[in-house]
Amino acid sequence: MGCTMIGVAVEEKIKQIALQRGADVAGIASVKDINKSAPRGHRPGDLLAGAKSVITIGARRYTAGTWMTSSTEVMHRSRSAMGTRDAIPLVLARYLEEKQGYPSIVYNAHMTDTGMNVSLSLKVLAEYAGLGSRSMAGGIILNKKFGLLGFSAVVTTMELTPDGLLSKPVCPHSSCIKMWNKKKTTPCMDACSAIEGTINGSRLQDVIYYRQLCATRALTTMNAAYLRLLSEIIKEEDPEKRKFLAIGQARQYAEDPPGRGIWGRCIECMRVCPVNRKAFKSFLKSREGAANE
Amino acid sequence: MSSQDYSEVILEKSRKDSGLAGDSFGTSVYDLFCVPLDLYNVFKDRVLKLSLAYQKWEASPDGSVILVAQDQLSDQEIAEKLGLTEDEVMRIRCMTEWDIPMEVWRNAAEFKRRSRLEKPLGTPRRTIRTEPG
Repeated sequence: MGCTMIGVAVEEKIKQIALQRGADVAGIASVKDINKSAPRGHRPGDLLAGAKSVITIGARRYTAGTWMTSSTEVMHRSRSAMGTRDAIPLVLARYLEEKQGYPSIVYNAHMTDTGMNVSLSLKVLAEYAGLGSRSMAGGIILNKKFGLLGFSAVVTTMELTPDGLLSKPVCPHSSCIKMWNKKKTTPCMDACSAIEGTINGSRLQDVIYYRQLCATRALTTMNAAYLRLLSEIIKEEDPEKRKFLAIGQARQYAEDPPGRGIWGRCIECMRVCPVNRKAFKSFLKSREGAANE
Repeated sequence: MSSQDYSEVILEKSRKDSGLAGDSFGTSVYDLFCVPLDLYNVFKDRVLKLSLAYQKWEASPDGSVILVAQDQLSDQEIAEKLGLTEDEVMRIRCMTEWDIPMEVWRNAAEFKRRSRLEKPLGTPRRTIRTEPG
């Protein structure tokens, strides 16, 4: 569609706003396309009647140094780097409402119930907005330039020209294909047994992901772990043992529950991913260049 | 204000506004949020395997970048498949998703600690040109 505003299509204006505010990527998907993959009850129109388009933005989750750190604690607490990711959709939604006149809602990753199902899959939204493709690593969306990204979105009733799917998948990387041909494994599979799959030629043939194993790693010290521990504390009949279950080393699962959400606290599959490694290395300026500035 | 206890007034008002049927009131707290244990034990594994807890994807036959999801059903779809209500499936799923031995969490922390120490840059080869030292 694409209305033109002072020579700039609305789609471009939206992306400009997102990028100027700190997003690394922004893309548009049509609700019609998204509905091909999203089941009933988990479609944009289930959140906002008459939804026509979804704008998805992505921002790098970590600095290069975070990828290199040997401290899981540093990584656990680096979500602050995602602050821009959460703020940009609100700016876009306000723009769509106040400048274009279309009701819009902000969508960040959240679970719809006390389990792990989400309202909308940000992976599906990102995929249909052309921001990346699913990878062997549990179906994580990989962007060719930026590797792993954190996504958020705006659902709007405005019909916008969609970017659509990529024409070529980002995963598998050529080095992973070589590794598969030699050893029948890939770096991500080798790193984490929540990931299984096969490669056929240069394409992923199948991908298997044990989410509940990944969840205990990605959400190690989240509310869910605390609640799991709580039931064990209650069950313990010996008062002394009960006390030490609460204040001993297991407390790590109780003392840092920052909230209910999908906050990755394990990135082992992505630390070894050649696409992601190439991405974060590419943003490290050479020291020679830096010295001249 | 009536002579009723304040909490009873609140309870009555909450029941009226909830729009729920009368037989759903006055149950145990367990029954408010969970399914009977016998129902849970029969269906917990099937619900987990049909849900997003186990994700299998296959290459698209048309060569598109989209991987085709196998199962990974919504609560509504699982309910249709297993002959349960959507609410029963959601309750079972929410109970079973975290019904995993505590040891798995300990192992998760150890997994990450060892990975970080053994592969500090994500690879045994220290190939990042600008890394310190």
